Formats: sequence, C-alpha cells, structure tokens
Amino acid sequence: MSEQALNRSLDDFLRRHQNEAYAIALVSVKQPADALDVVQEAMLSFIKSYRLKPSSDWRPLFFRVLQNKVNDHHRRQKSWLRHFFSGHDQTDVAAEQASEAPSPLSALNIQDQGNEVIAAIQDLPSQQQQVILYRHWQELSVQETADVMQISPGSVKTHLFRATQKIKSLLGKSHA
Amino acid sequence: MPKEPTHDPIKQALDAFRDQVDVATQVKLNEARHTALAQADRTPRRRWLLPAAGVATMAAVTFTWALLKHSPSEWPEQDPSIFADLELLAEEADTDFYQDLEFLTWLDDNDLMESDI
Repeated sequence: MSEQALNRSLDDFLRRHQNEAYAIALVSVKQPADALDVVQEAMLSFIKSYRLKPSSDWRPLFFRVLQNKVNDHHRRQKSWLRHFFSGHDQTDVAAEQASEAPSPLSALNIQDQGNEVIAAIQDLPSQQQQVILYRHWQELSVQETADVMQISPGSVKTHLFRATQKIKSLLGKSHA
Repeated sequence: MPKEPTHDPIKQALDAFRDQVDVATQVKLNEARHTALAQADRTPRRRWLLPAAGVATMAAVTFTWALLKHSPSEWPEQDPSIFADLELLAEEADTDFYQDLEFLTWLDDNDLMESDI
C-alpha cells in the first residue's frame, strides 16, 4: 500500500471512530477537555505504533491504546491530587471535589433515560465500565475486550454480568 | 452497511451520547486527527531498513566465509611460550621479586650466583 493510500485509510478509520473514542473517554475521565486530550494522545500513539498493522486489526488496537491513555490520565490525576492535597484529610478532599465538580453531563443535552443510563455507567467500577463500553457497546469479541483491558476472557464475562446486573438494578430502582 | 437500530437501552444511551458531540468538539476532534496524521507524514515508513539489513547480513556471511576459508594450518604459528608468559602475567605479582629485579639482572650480567655474594 502506498503512503498516500495508507494515510487515506488511516484518516477514514479515525474519522469513523473519533466520536466513539471521545464518548468512551468522556464516560471514563468525565471532563470534556480531558477527554479530548486523551483521544488526541490515543490517535498519535496509534498512528506511531500500529499504522503498519493490517487494517483489520486497527479497531481493537486503537481501543487498547485509548484505554491505556485513559488509565494514564487516571494515574496522573491520582498522583497530582495526592501531591496537591497531601496535607489535607482525604475524606474531606473527596467530599469537596464531589460537591464542586461540574456534572459530567452538564455539557450534554441528552434525553433523561439516556442520562440515567450514562450516569449509571459512570458510577460503575472501572473494569465493569470498560466491559460495557468495549464488549457490550462496541461489540468487540470477548478475546478482543480481554486484550484491550489486559485481563482474562473469563474476567470479561464476569465483569459484564455484574455490570449489566448493576445497571438494570439502578434503572429499576429509579423507575420504581 | 448501516447498523440496525437497537432496542437495548444501554446501547441506545451510548449511541445518543456519541451522536450528541457538539460542533466545537467535532472541530477539535478533526484537528486532533489531522495532527496525528501529519505526524505519520513526518515519519515515513523506514523502507531503507530492509536493504540495510540485507547488506549487513551479506557482510557478516562474507566475513565468516573468509575466516573459515583459511584453515587453522594456514595460520601463522605462534610461539607456545607466549601462553606461559600470559599465565605468569595473569598471576598475582610478587612485589619483592620486582624490587630485586635490578639486582638479579646485575648477577646475571656478571655470571654470578646469589650465593657467590
């Protein structure tokens, strides 16, 4: 494949997946500016490391890079918060942050039902959130999801079962 | 082929979440994509690596062949004492010996034994 043809394929691939990548990042990191940074870093790393891989492998590889960038973001946040608030009581700090942080969905005008589902997904533990995004929504195979999350296929199934149960339960309660 | 609409509330919510990206964010995502692709243009595929690897392999094979072509019998003979000297050099030096070296050299030059002194 010529350089031009490769670049056209990459452009087409990234254009088709950039909104999904942004949605995944936003569900995970919650702040739109952070989500944009994560997606840009993922695109750069993906092109640098995997552009010469067969295009049939690009999708799971791109999501794997994206998830790594999300994890890096969380690590940086934890480290920064630990450094910045090292003299404070951690419980108070968490409470302050929770009360001051803007709603993750404040920038998005989506339907109430969808809002509740997204909020429920955002409340899930990280790995349950990831299986919902990659296995359930993006319909990656169990093995591909396991590769993205760097866990075993058995754990993917377990997390998915727990996550769907939890979302159903949360939605059931809110409509009761 | 476009995806069929889903009745799964989780997928519906996530599809809606994805589709409601505002124009400003869309512009920034496009910019991010162009930046990433521009980087790909600056780092073209390293096609030169293949011929370079071939040349290196050929050079290694030629060198090995040249070494093997000359059998050990054709190699210049070495004085076996060189290895004995190496052993001596490798051993821990006796400092007293080196201190007396000048004296022993003088004895040798004058055909004398140490007991003659």
